[in-house]
Amino acid sequence: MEAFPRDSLRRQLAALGIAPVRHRMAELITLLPVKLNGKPYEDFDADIVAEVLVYLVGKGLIEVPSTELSGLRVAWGERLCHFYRSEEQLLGLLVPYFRQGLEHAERCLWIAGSTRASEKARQSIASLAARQHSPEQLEVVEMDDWTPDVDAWSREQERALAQGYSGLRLCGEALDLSGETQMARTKALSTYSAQSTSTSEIGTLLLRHDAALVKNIDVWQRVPTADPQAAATILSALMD
Amino acid sequence: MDTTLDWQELLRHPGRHDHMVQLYQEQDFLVEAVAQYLGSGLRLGEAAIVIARPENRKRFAQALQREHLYPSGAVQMLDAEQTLARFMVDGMPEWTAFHRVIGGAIAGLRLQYPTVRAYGEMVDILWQRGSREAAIRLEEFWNEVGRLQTFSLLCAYAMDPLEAASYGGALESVCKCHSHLIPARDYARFNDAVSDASKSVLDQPLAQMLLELAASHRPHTEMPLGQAALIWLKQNMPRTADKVLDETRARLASA
Repeated sequence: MEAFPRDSLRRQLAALGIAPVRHRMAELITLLPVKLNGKPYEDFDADIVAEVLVYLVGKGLIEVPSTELSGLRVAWGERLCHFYRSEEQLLGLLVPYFRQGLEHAERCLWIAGSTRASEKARQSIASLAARQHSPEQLEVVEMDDWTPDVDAWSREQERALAQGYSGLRLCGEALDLSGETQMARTKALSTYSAQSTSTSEIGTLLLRHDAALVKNIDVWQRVPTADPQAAATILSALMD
Repeated sequence: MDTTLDWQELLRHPGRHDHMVQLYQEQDFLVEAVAQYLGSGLRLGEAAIVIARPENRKRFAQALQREHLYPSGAVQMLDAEQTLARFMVDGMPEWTAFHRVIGGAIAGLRLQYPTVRAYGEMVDILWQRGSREAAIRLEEFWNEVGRLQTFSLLCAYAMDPLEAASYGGALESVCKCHSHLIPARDYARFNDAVSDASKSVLDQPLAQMLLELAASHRPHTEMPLGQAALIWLKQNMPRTADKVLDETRARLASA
């Protein structure tokens, strides 16, 4: 028999945006921001799993996890980050991230890390726009060819708006946008290789971003950074 | 790493304004802690004031006698009930009378000794009677006297930190009034039991994440990490906390 949390907890889950159809124990446990390596989910108490989720989502330490990246809100002006362990993981985010931008009439720009992104990855991202029949909407730039000056980001944003797009969707390897103030119509994603980023560096980098995006098996989780220490703890659990 | 001082070290060398609280169920643990606290001070030439129930005054006196520290002019023993009666008005402590009685006693000792260590059971008497508001008010009065005079204070509550009923207001209220909480005799064993119980209830990765979150939201009161984690869990995930409490109790009982 499928296990569900008690009704009072189900009401709290629903109020936080976790729909009743996702309240089965087997699904709830996938929403936890940890990799449960050993214990079978049947051994967990549904109330406990629900209670942990209610706390984490209710306190804004994670947002309601989604199987689709489109389920994760990316607002104008937001700066997100993602720590990846392989190019496959990186593309697992970039493909839906840019596809979402193309579908929403946003100008897309990827500053590809020269030493990290392979030719295959570049082609895979560039082909997204071609499939959308708007190749000019997405631009892939080599990090080495990109020499941003003081106004580079706001100029790119203005260019996107002048071309009739709704704004700029940006992604780049280790982008430092912390000093930028003119990014009201930009959505920015900085990616970092987890292997070359220490735990203490992750804590510092989180402070420069509004949230981190992490995929836990099939579920995308958005970890806000308002409480950087809690965010670092949750990220560390997800990335272990 | 838990950097909390163990309770013996804390009681040997309290800060000049520390207001510590011990939770106990065994009289032996209480007597050991109070004797440690008062005895260390008396050996340093400090004074002691004890406001306790008659049976406990007798136990403390015997423990200090064994160390040849009592009788002594540096030790003032007062009856807790009689002392309470001198400043309680309509079931609540009255500041002016409290200040005169308690502040006066401490000031008198401080004229002759460099500092004073105080031990009190009046709050516990009020607490056990169910007069919790009066007990917390009395703790606040002690803190107020502590701002006016230099002395350390140890309180004791007959309370079980592994009992779910101790949480949800009671233990948290007690914590707010104190600088340090001593919940158990063996901190390392207590911390390990809480950690192992959490891993058993939640599985290791989730337990580790929650214990780290708890550690980053520690209360201002110094206490072992395990105790801080239990308070945090009880405040934020009460059902989970109850299971962890049960499991912790079972582990401590079987060890």
